[in-house]
Amino acid sequence: MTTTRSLAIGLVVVLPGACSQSLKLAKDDSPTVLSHQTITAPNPGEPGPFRVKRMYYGSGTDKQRREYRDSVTIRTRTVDVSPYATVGPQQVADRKKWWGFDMKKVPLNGRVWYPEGDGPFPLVLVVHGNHNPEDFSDPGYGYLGELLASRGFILVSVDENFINGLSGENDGRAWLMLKHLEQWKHFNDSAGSPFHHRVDMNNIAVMGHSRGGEAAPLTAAFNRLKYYPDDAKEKFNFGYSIKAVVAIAPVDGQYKAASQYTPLENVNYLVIHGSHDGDVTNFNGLRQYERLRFTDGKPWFKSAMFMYRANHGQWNTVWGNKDNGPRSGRFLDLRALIEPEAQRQFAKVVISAFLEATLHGKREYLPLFRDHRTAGAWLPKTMYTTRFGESGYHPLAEYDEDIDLTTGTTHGVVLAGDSLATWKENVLPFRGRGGEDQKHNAVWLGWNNHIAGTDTTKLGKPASYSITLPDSVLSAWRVSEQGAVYLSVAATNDKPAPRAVARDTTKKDSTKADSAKKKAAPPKPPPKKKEVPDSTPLELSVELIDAAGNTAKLPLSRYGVLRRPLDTRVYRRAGRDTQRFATIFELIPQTFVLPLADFARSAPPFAPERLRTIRLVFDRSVAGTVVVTDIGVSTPADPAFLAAPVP
Amino acid sequence: MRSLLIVCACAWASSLHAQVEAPPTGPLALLLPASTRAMALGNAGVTGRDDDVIFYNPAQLVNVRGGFNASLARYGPASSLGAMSSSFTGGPLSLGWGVQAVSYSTRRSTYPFTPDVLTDRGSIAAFSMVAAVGAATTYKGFKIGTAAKYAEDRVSNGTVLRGPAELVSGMAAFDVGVAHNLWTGVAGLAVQNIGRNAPGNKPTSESPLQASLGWSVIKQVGELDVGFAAQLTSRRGWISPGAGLEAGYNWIEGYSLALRAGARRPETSAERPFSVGAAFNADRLALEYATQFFDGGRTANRMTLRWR
Repeated sequence: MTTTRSLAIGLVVVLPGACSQSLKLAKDDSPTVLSHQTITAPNPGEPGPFRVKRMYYGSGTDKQRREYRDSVTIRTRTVDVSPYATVGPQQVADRKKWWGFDMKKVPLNGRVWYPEGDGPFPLVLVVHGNHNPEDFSDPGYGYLGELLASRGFILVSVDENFINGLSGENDGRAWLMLKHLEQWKHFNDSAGSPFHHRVDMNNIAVMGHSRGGEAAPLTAAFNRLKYYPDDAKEKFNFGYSIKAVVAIAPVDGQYKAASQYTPLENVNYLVIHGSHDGDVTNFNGLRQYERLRFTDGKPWFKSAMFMYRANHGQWNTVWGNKDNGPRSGRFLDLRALIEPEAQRQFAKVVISAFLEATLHGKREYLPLFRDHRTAGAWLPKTMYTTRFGESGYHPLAEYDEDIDLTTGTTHGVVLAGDSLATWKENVLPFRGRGGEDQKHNAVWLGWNNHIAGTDTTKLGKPASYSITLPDSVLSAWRVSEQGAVYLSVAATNDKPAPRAVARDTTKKDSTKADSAKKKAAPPKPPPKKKEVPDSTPLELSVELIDAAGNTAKLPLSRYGVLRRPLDTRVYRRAGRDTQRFATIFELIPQTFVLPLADFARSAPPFAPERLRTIRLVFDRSVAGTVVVTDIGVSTPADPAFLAAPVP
Repeated sequence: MRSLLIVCACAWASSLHAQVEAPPTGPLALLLPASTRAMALGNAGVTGRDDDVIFYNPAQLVNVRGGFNASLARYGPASSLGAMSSSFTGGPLSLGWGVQAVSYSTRRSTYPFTPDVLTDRGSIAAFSMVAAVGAATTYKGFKIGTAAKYAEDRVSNGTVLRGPAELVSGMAAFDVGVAHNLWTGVAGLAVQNIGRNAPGNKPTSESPLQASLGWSVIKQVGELDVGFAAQLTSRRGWISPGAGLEAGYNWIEGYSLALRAGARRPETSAERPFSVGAAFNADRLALEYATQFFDGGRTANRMTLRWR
């Protein structure tokens, strides 16, 4: 009896501990990587000079929220969102009872933070994502409202709580955003409105979180259409001047207009996502980032930022760390999360900088998006992986166009590998199981400069991978010293075996002479020790060669850190991450922007305007595998992008 | 919730004026709790959610937490009960089967037997079993189901049941049931044991034709998952209300503990109205336990191992 009781007590004590895993985090390199601050402008995450005012607009009849019933400064009409958001028959009655309205009469409610002054001030709309409809999400962006209003923006947190709990409704979310913009045009145009001529309707940004993060680019896409793509009976007449789109931990493809992922053109785009997102576990916004095209010759840019230890909910103060519902602590390893204030400070810095750059024209913030190390003093101390692109960029090799390893994206570009152990092209995966991928390809390049044999110090010629440009593109693209080479690279943990000894063809093949020797069993190799993944960042050189054969070579590490994959354990239960994810990291190539002027300075005979070959030389790490994509050259539309270099 | 409690209270009050003891019916296997969870919850199983709900309400086979159950129970020094059930869903139909059998000995010579006979030991060996197959589907938001079953009682004039023991009662019957979501929970109604008891060599018994109406709900209350199940059963003029409460705690994904307690009007005065139980879940494996009390300090203990 005593034994049984002891066993039972033991089980109760031991089981909870045995099932949870210990906290595992990648080694933080921020003390080194974020040790510089080369942008000299004021911190965009700090309040600006304007006094902040607050107000509500809406139906004035809200059953559930006093602010939209008793405190509205401006009353707005209701709209019919039913063509874009379908409610199941069982939900209709419940929703009508709770909200007091159905989808045919939804309110246009918004909480507004705005600067005191005459303006006109740029307008920024933010919309929440899916969450418990009764736990109202729209107050959760107050931290952005206070900051942005103090810096001269009008921020509106749009109420779409009544649309939460549905599925396939992201088109409805986007359409409602446009109806709010319609309302704001009316506020700006109406003589009696408190916002009469105080709204800069030529500078508008739309921002969204989670499902709202898909709705934001969809808003920009719908904005330019004449008809609802799924039904021409619904006519659109918007055409607002949306200059910028911000997506916070967005979903992607939950709504597909005409069964297509949302195409997007000619707008500035920022997407941020956390590594420890327990809800949207894939960095889905990378797909929208890749789909964005700049075609009109205007100076647009796009940026994707991945924050280590950030989750899904802490971008919203209402959602917090409950990515998996009220009992998230039972599913998710909350110990791994960065402090909520630090996560939101990152959002404040990058969103504010992005809006300052795109709506206020403050170009001094542009370098932050080229290389986040330029803002080491502003960013919370954790690790970031960033992507960047701008409208001056011309692709050489993006790996989506064909199955030929030797051809690039632009006609005439030739790709070649030398002494590589791995050379293959494939689609960039997401970490989640289930076949979801980034809808974008890359090349896998593996090398090991060691020569197989007993002499472990013997190294062969460094492996390399080269991209050769045809003459025609250089003049067409006006490549010059003001330009830059772009490439996006991710290191992996894969390490190829040592290179085989080159066969000496001058010697007679002795193996044929002694078949007995050939058949002798090879000695048994010693048992392999379990290899601990090397956490040292990979290093490689980028060598540029001009038409005259002049070369200039610089280390890639000068332009960013090529760190190993970031170990990311989202779940609390031991083994759950490996069960639910194909890998315990998200494979995100870091964009490196290498100014051609740096190469010209390092080796003066080299002439950037006659650039012929870009060569990745694997001479700084003996062995490794990298994933490379988006190799190109650019003469940035705005030279400010290349400013504030990190020493 | 308040209205439901009022309904339960009224039902309980009305049952006070009904027959105190259940009428003599058989086979015995049809009178015994057929689920460890239900046994702990005052035998309120008409809105159950595991495979063994086939013994209570076949309509609930829809969306049941499918898998395989195996149960063992000891009622007394000479009785052993075993049960198995399983279910699966194919297209619009949910299918299930279950078998429960008990072997025991008794001193009693009067038939039909009541459940407290299982706590006895005597010179007459006996055996009782029920086997059921059922199907359910959803129609206009209502879960509807039916089950066909066969039940029998056998006795032998020795302490060991040998060979083809004498069949004293056997019946083929069917159950029908319906269930629907109600007030954030589930309401269920089942009419069971529709069929005639085939006469055996011993005095025949009436079949335990009964109707059960119940409701259950599970809510998150703070850190606990609290479940409540209530049921009213009417069997040939005898009314038995029953209800149970369950509190579960899940400290990490996949693992949980639950404690249960229930009360019901028992079949006989020899049974105590109260029952208690517990459950431990580890991913797809569940271990459940329940105890039912009898007079004289006797208890029936039932354990289920479930693989979902």
